Amino acid sequence: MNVLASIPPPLGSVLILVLGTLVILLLTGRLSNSPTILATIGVLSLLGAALPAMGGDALTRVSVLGVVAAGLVGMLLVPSAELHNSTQRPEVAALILLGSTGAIVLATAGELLSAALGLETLSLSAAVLVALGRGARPLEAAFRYFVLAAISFAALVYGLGLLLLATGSFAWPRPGVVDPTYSYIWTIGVLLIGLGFAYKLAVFPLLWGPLDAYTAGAPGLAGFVMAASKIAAVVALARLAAGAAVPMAPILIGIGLVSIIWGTFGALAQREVRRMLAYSTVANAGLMALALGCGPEGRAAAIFFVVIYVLTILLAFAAMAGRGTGPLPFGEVRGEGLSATRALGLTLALLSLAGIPPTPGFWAKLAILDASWSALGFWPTLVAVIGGVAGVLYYLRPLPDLLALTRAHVSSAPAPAVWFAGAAVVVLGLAPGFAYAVARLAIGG
Amino acid sequence: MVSALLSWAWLFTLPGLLLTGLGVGRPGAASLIGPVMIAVVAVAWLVGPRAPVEVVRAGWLPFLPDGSFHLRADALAAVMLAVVGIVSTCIYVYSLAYMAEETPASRRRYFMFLDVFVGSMAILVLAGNLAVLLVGWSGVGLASFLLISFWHDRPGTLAAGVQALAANAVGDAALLLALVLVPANCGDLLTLQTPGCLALPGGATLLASLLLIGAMAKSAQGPLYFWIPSAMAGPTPVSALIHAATMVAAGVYLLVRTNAVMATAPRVAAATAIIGVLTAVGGGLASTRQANLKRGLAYSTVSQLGYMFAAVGFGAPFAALFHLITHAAFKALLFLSAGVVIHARHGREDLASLGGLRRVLPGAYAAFLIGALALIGVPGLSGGFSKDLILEAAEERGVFGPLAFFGLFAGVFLTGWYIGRLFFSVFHGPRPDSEPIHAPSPLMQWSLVPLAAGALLLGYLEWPRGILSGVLGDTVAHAEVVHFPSLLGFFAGALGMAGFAIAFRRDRAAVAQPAAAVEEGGWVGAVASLTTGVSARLISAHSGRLGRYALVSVLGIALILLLGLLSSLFGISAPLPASPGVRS
Repeated sequence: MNVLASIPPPLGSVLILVLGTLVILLLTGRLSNSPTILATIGVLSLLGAALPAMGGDALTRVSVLGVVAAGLVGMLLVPSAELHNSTQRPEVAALILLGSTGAIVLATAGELLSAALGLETLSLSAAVLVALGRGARPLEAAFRYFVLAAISFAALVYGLGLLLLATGSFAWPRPGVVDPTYSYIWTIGVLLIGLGFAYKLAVFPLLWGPLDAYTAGAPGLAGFVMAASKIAAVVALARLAAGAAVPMAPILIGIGLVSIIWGTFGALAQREVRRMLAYSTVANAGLMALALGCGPEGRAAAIFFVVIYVLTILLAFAAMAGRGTGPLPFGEVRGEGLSATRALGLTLALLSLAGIPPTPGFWAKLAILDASWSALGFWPTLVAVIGGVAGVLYYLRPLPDLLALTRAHVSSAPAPAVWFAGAAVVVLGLAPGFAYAVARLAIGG
Repeated sequence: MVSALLSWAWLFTLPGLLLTGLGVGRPGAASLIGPVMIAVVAVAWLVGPRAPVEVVRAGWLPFLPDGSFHLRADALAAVMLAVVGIVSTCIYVYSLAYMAEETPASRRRYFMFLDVFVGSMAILVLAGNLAVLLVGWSGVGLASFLLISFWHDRPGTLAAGVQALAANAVGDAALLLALVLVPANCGDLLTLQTPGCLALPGGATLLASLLLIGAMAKSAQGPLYFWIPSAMAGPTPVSALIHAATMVAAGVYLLVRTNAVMATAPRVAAATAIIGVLTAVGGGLASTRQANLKRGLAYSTVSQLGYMFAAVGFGAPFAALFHLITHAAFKALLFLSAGVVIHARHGREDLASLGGLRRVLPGAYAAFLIGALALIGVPGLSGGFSKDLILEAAEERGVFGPLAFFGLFAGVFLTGWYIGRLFFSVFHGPRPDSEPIHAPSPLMQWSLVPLAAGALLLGYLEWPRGILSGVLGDTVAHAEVVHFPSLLGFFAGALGMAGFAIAFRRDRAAVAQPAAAVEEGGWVGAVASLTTGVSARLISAHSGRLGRYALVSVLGIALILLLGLLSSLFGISAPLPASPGVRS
C-alpha cells in the first residue's frame, strides 16, 4: 500500500492507461470482432485513469479529466469509426489510450524532457489514428501531419539542448535563474520549446498539419486528436509562459492575433462543415494563445476556454461520426439523415462555438476578452472581439437546415458519445463559475 | 407577488417551448402560454403595485468585472414587456392561421423559434447589467436569423439571414467591448454614467459610442440599415413582430435605458441625432422606390426608428419610448394586414401583382388605412401624439440649428407619400388578374383588432392625463408635455396627408424594378467582396503540398525566433502588468 500511495497522481493515471493499452493489444485477436467489449475495456481504463488524478493538484485534475473526457468520447465512437479495415479497431482503441497517456504526460510532466516524451507519444498516436481512417485522404493527411510534427519536434529538442546549455537542467524555466552570459541562448531555447508545444495548438505558422488532419480523419478520431492535443498544449504553454513570460508572452500574443485573423478569414471562405471547423479552430487557438500571453488572469481564461472548447468540438465531431470521412457541404446537411439527437448535438455545438449565450462558448470568449482588455487594452481586444463575433457568420450557416431535420435515425454511430459530450456542454453552460474557479486553481491563482 | 412574477417573465415561454417541442396539442397552441403570461403579468404590474424588484446573484460570471446575474423589473421594463407580450400574443394567434399550410413539424419549429425570441426579448428588457443584456441581445439575434431563414430551401433566405447576422455581429462586438471595459462594481445599466464607471480610457465618449453602435446595429440605423430589407425573406408575422415592432426597437430601448450616459457625452448625442435624422429621411426616400410591399414597409420601419434615435439624441428619451410604443402597434398592424393581402394573393408581394383589393379584403383595407394614418401622424391618432413630441423636441433642442427639425418635418411628408403609395397600389386601381383570392380566416382578422385599437387609441395614454409618464416615474426622464391639439401637430399632419394625397394622384405604375432577394450593393457589397477576396487568397495557400508547408513552418519558426531575440535585445516585454483597464 505504501508503494501505491507514493506514486504521484499523474503517474498513477499513466500506469493505468498503459495497462489498459497492453490488455487491449494482448487480446487484439479476440477483440477485433467484439467492438462493444473493446470499447468497454477502453472506457474502464479511462475512468480508472481519472481516479488517481483526483488526489493530485488542480492542474493535474484539469489536465487528466480533460484528456480523459476526450478519450472517452473517442472510445465510445470506436465501434462505429470509419476505418480501412474493421479488424483494426483494437489498434485504434489502444492508440486512443496511448495518445491520452502522451497528452497527460505533456500536461503534467515534472520536467521538460518528460514533456517532450509525452508530446512525441501524442504526436505518433495522433498521426496513426488519422491514417487509419477510410479512404486515401486520411493517409495523405496523416503523412503531412507526421512530417510537420517532426519539424516542430526537432525545434523542441533543439530548444531543450539550448536550455540545458544555459541552465544545466531540463527543469521548467523559471525567471531569474539564468546566468546573463547565457540569456540569449536561454531565450532561443525557451522559444523553440514553446513553438514545439504550439504545433499541438495549431496556431500560425504551424497549422498546416493539424488543418489537414482535422479535415480528413475519421470524425470521432479526428475529434479525439484535436481535443487531447489542445488541452495538453494549452496547459504546457501556460506552464511555460508562467515561468518565462519575457520571451513567451509577446510572441504568444503576436501569433495569437495573427492566428485569429487568419483563421477567421479562412473559415469565412468555407462551404463545408469539416473544413470550416478545422479553419475556425485556428481562430480559436489564436484566442487561447492571446490569452496565454496575458498574465495569470489570461492563463486561467485560456484553461477555462480550452476545457469548454474541447468539449464542444468533441460534441460536434461525435455528432458527425459514423457518416464517413468525406466533406459535409452546408447545402447537403439535410441529405445526411442525421438522427434528431445528433442534429441537436451538432446544433448545440455550433451555437456554443459561435458564442451564443447561454451556451458555454460565450462565457469562454468573455473570459478571454476580459483578460485581454485588462492586460493589453483596446486594440488587441478589438481584434479578439471581431474574431470572436465573426464566428456567427460561419458557424451558424448550417443551422436552418440542421434544425429542420426530422429524418429517422440512419447512421449506425452510437449516440452515447453525443449524450456525454452534450451533457458536459450543458453543465458548463449552466455553471460557468465553477469551471472558472477550477481553472483559476489550476494556474495556481 | 406580481412584482416577483415580473422578474421571472423571461422564463414564461419555456413551458410553451417544451410542450411545442414535444409535440403536445395543435402545433403552436401551447406556445401561446408564454406571450399571454407576459402580457398579463406586465399589465397587472402596471395597474397594480408597481413595486420595482431587483434580483442580483453575485459570482455568476466570476471572470467579469461585474459578473453578477442582475435583473431589474421596474416600470420601464414592465411597459416594454406589456408591449412585447400584447403584440406577440396577437402575432402568435395570427400565425396559427397564417402558417396553417406548413407541415406540423415545420409549424412546431416556427413557434419554438418564436418562443426563443420572446424569451430572449424578455431577458433583454429585464436586464439589470450589460452581462445579462448581452444574453438577451444575442438570443434575439439568433432567433431573428433562424426566422429569416425559416424557409431554408427557398433561394436567398439563408443569405438574407446571414446578412442579419453580420449586422448583428457589429453591434455585438461593440457591446462586448463595452461589457469588458466598464470597471468593476459598475455594470448596472442605470449607473453607467457615474464618474467611477467612466474612469476608463476614452471615458464617456467611448462608452456612449459603443452603446450607440450596438443600438444602431439592432435598430438598422445609418449604414447598418442594410439587413432589414433582406430580412423580409422571413414569414410576414415574423417581419411584423421582430423586424418592425419589438426586436429592432431594442436598440432604442437600450439608448433610453442608458440615456444618462449619452447625457454626459454631448458629441455622441449630437451624432445620434444626426444619424437619426438622416436615417429617417433616407429610409423614407428609399421606401418610395420599393417595388415590393414588405420592403416598402421595412424601409418605413428604418425611417421611424430614425425618429426615435433622433429623439434620444435631442435628449428626449420619453418621446423616443412613446413613439416606440405607438409604432409597435401601428407597424405590426400594417405588416399583419399586408400579410392578409399576401396570403390572399398566394404569396405575391410585388406591388405590380397586387391592386384593387379594396372590395375583396375590406378588413385588411380598413386595418391598413388605420395603420397608415397613425403612421403619418394624423392628429388624434396614436402616431400623431408621439411624433408630435419628437418634432417639438427637435424644434426646442435641435442640432445644427433648425436643420434637424426641418429634416424630420420633411420626413413626415415622405411618410405620407410612401405609405400612400403602398396603400393605393395594393387596394385601389384595377386588379392585375382574375385569380381567385384566398379568403383570410377569422383568426387572422380578429388578431388585427387589438392592434388597430392600439393604433387609434394609444396616444391617449399620455394625453390628457399623462398616464404613461406617471407610470414610468423617474425610470425615463421626461420634460416633454403632450399638447393637443397643437399647431405643430396640425401642420405636420396636414403635410403628411398632402403626401398621402399626392400618392393617390400619381401613376402607381412608376415603380422600381423588383429587387433581388438580397441586396448586395453599396458598402456592404464592397466589404463582402473584399472579405471573399482575402479569404480566397488565404486559403489558396492551403495547397496540400508538403514542401510548401514545411517551408512556411520553418520560415515561421525562424521569424519568431528573430522577433523573440529582438524583443529581448531591446527589452520589450509583454505589456504586463501596466493594466489599462482600471481594475481594483
